[in-house]
Amino acid sequence: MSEELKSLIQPHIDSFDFFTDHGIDLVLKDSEPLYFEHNSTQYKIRFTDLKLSRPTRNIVEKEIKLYPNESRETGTTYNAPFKGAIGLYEVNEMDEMDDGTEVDYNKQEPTHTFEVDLGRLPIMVKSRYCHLNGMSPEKLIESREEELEQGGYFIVNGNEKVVRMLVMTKANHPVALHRKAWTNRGPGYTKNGITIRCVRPDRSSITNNLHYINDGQTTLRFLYRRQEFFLPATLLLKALKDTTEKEIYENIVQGDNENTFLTDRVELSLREQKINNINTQEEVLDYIGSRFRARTQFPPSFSNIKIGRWFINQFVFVHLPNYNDKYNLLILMIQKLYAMVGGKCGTDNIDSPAFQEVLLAGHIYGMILKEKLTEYLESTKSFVLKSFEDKKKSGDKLPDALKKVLDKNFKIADRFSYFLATGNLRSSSGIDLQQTSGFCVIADKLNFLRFISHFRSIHRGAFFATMKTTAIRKLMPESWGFFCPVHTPDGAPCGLLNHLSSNCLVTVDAAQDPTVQKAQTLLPSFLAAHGMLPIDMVSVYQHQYLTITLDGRVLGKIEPKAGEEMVKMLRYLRSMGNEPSIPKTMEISYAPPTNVENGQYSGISLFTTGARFMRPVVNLTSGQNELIGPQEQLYMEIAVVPHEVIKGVTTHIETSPTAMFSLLANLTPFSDYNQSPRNMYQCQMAKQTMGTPLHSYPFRTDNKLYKVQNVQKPIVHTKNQFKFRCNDYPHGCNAVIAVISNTGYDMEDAMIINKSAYERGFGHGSVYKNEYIDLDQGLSRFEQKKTFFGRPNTVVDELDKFIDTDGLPFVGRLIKPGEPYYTYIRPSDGRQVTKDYKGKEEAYIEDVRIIFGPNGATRDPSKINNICVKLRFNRNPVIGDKFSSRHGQKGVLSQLWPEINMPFTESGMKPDVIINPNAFPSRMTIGMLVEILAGKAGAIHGKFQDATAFQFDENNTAIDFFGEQLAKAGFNRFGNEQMYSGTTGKEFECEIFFGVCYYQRLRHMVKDKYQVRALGKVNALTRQPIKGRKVGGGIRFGEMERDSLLAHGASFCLNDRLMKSSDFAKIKVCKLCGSTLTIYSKKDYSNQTVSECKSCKSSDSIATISIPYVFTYLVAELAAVNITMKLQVS
Amino acid sequence: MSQTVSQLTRQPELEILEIKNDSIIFILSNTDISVANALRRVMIAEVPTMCIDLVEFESNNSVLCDEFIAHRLGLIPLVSDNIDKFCYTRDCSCSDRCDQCSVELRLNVKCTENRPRDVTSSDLLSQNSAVIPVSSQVTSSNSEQEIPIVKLRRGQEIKLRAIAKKGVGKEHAKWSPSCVATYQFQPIIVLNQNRIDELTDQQKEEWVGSCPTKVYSYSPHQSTQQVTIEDPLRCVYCLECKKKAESFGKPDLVHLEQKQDKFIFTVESSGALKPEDIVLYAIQIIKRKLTDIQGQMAEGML
Repeated sequence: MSEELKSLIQPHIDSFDFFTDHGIDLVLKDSEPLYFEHNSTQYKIRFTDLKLSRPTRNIVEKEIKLYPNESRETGTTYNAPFKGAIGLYEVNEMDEMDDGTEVDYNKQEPTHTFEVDLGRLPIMVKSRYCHLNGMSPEKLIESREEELEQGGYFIVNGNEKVVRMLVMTKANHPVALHRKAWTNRGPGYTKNGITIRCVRPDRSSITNNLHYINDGQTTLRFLYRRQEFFLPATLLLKALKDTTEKEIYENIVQGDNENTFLTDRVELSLREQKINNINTQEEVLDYIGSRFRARTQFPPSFSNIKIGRWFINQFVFVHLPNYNDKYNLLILMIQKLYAMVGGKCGTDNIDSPAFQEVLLAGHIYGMILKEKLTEYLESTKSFVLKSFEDKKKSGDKLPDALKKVLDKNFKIADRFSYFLATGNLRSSSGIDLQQTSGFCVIADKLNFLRFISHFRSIHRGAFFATMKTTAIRKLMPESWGFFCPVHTPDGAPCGLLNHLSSNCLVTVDAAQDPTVQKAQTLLPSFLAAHGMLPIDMVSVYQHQYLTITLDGRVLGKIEPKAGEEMVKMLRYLRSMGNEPSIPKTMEISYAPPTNVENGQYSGISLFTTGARFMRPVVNLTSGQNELIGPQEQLYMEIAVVPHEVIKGVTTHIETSPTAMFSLLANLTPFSDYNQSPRNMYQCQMAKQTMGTPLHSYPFRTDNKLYKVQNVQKPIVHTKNQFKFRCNDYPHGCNAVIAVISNTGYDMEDAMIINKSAYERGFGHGSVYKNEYIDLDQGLSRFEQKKTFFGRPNTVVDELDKFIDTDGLPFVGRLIKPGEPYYTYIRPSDGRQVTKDYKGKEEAYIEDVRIIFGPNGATRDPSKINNICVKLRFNRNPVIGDKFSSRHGQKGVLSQLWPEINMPFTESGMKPDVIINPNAFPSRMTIGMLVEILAGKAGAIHGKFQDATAFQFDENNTAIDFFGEQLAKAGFNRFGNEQMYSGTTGKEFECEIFFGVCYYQRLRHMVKDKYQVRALGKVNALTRQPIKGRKVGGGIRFGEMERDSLLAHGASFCLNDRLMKSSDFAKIKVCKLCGSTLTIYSKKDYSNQTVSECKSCKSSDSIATISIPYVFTYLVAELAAVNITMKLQVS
Repeated sequence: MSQTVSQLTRQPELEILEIKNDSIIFILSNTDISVANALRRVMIAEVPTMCIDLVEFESNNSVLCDEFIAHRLGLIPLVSDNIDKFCYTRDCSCSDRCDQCSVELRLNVKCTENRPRDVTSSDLLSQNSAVIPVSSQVTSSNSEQEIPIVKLRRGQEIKLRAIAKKGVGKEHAKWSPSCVATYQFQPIIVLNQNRIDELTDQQKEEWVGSCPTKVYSYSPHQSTQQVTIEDPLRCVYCLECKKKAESFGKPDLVHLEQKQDKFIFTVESSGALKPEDIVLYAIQIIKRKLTDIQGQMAEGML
């Protein structure tokens, strides 16, 4: 198993393991009870247990292990039984207590417990709950998987689905922002605000905003049931801590009494909240609770204070359970907000990775589960209460009614399958996410590189795709080393869909990493021992002191100089990795105090939470690899190469200059020689290459699979090719290439292929398609499950050539369009029905697999009604197919040129591929030239060439290095060769650049795209030809095409194309009234059709004219709006 | 100016330099480029050989698909020494195919062991002992020369009937008998010894070293201390020596020219035919073509 390859997908697996191992328990622990009244007794229901098993399959009431490949091949979902228990309680005094402590619901004993079946939950392949977890390569192959199967995806209805990584705001870190939209939130609201995304241990989150109001007040915003609420910050401070206004004032101002801007505003906000005359913590909580009471479902016996507390627990700084911590954080946010408004610091850039983290599959799973549990209880409650409205059932006992409802309630796991199948999130609360669709994509196995890229892609969010500004798409310097600067698509998703650099990793949650968990408890005392003033001991307010936070919890203050020293020490310890209070994955963000305008708000922020980006660099002090985060990177001195190190300044050095690239960008040879957009194009094209997607072809039933024969390892490769096992899945072939303008067939990016090279197998390939044929589909319920494949009329039907005696097609046979495909027996009359092959392209029957449903116990070969036919289409190159090198140089095959006509060198070499030299000047893909040179030298000397970027420079050029090798072998050092024309035999006047280049075949093929039409379907309304290749439609002859005919004066052609060949029609018109609508036809006495104008009562005035048929439609439409159209017919 | 045709026509000469099992080097002189190129083209595309052209699969559950195996079989060179005894299927008097125009080969391998079984060209059994895969010839019993077709795992089987037919490289590359057929012009290299004498020993060495194919030789320990031409045929006209001479400020140090009527041919055989036979067949074919034209001209068709 390749550890490197595994590391690419690890974030997905880790997140799902987090969900199964910890997420479910955390969600359960946190799940809120639902209160309701029945027969004037207060009840509550809540989930008491959730249990996930490993994937199973049901065979005759027996559960047996389900392996991923079975789901893939049968087109089903890879899922595991998910069960739960619901407890019914009577509300007791424990519920009604409000001493401020967390209520542990698990301590209460329910009066009744109900086991509930929550359906089958889709399981991530290779996660801990998957049967493949921990399997050796041999075992994997036995389970019909790839040797290098990495998992990380779900299988839903046979499709492999990935939950794409999504950029989120960094958890538990206050971010200063300007947002225009905030001015609309109420009178006096400004664009200034601090936002914080608070993440609970179960990874569900609540975003709080602190707004700045014109008069200097601040309010905290939160969402409850998709409605927004604002709490004055000073009021909230009083609710969080039994404190005095003096203390609040001192806490915010911190002795900075000279700063009248600050003091004025703090005084004002304190004074404003004085009006209500609520002072103590209890009073404030009571006040808040009374305001929200009406919107909650709590029983009347609950006190306002309890409800107030509930709101603060649920919606204010949810990452901090402790009220003192919440208080300190709010103080910090108020300070930061005033600092920003007062111009002491600038805004933070939320588009920069420094303020971002990632949302992963397991995290979304947790969020959905949390919400669906609530919805489940709510729907249970409403159904139960409704059932009592029914007179017949009103006498039922509550537990019985509840049991009935629970059996009929929706299955929670189905919501997950829906989510994965469609990518849509149906949510009542929005789950603090900005989008509702586009979470999941099919992990397309077009080739290995495309597949693996799905797991490294990270999307900024669907919301940003609609934004007109391009600022979010910008390549930030902050993203260095975390997001690949090269690997992003051009076009619509440019800059929004990024890819993680090859060694960027995503941290796991503390629950998964005991060292982090331990460190979180040790760290405060460790810091206090090294110069930090713990926050509860700070008495002398020193506003220039730096605040130290850990995951959004204020730990203490430190003197700025000491702070800098402490950061250095922390980083050293982190790189050494042997101090238990400093975990390796902790980000130590230090924004030094600065006088720079718009600088970052100073302070030391430590992060130990999961889902953050980290990447390794070498610490020069310790010489060890150290993980750093994107926020701290901004203030670190990191050299890229050793000679950049400045003594006393540089603290770190990159592990490799290519570390900033993604896997794909790293595979482009000599990418440092290319013009940058070409490298982007190559990342695009590598993902469109017909390559080797997998090796387990016989066990795959993907909709479409490509396969190229005669693939090779590239002679010129980069180091990552080996590191990530890319050579196990090659996607091209080393072609001998001549750069010459030879026949004219190489103009405009066309390329000529040597016919003999093609005949020897260059670019040969095939496409596999799978067709599921379910006989029950489209049948009436009566016929279903009674229709089976079969061919009873073997003697008389003359189908022996086409169909086997079981009614299924022969394996290995070449089937042509329109030929008999399969036969089945119709249950209504027992007759044999033959179905023809509907495809438009001839294909080989690769295999036919018989699918028995979930109750596959009755494996009776005479009762087959569901099959999957795998078809193989021959796709050898034809003129018009697309090829490309690895440098964004794509071209279309324009001619298979006979070998004898190909130019040849002195040694008799003839090129496989000819491309035009004009492909180079404007595109500047010098890397390709170097690759050809290196490939040639490598081929001659029989060795692979290393083409990793940034290994050559001005003093040691690639040209010299490879030229030397060529010269050694008796070739011109610049790769040029004297060539002779194949047709005349004469020598060319100039030398030709000739060498070996890796060529990829792209998936765009003429066979899938050509469109022809002579006669065909027409649109019923307009009688014009329909559009669309699939339905045999035409190609639009549009306005611009029409214009060019007009310009040529080609009037006959115009008439022919736009009328005769389109919707030519002969219609009748009345010469008197000029109407086409009033004409009716009837049979006269001699049974001949006679037309008559109903309005003129005349049949002599009818004339027949030729017009486009749409014209009648226009006339009818106009008549509908009371406009007549009259035609003057002479 | 009264020259007869026979005086105008040159009499091409052919001098064989080297014949090996699989290659031939000869000099064609006293003729035109067009003739030399015609010979080259015919050797590649028009000298007929036998190759598998039709494959009927009876059973194939190997990992490779039918077309792919058929394609691989086609590319296996078959001994075609008695190619003259066969006629093209299209010219044959038979309706479908017969022994006059085709040879049947069979491949029937099943893997029964636990380790993979390599199916190679040696498993191809021919019904005509003269038309067999080149690698199966007695002279090349070396198993490394066997051409792999497919690998089988336990339980996999491949059973097929292949029909080899006569054809030419023009139609499909598999019928081409020559791997390499190329010519180069005889180089004329003239050294200006006076200029060379002006060079220092070090410069001489540098100049001789500038040629990537080592056409020149010079040894400072030699008594003559002369730069000599070791092998003019090695020259690939890269003009590196010329460039070097220019860098010394002596562009007339060496004179390079191609002799336009003398061609050094190199032909390598795929094994289907002996290299000398390829040449002979090619000449024969050219002759026949010319006779055809002559005949047609006489008939007034051209």
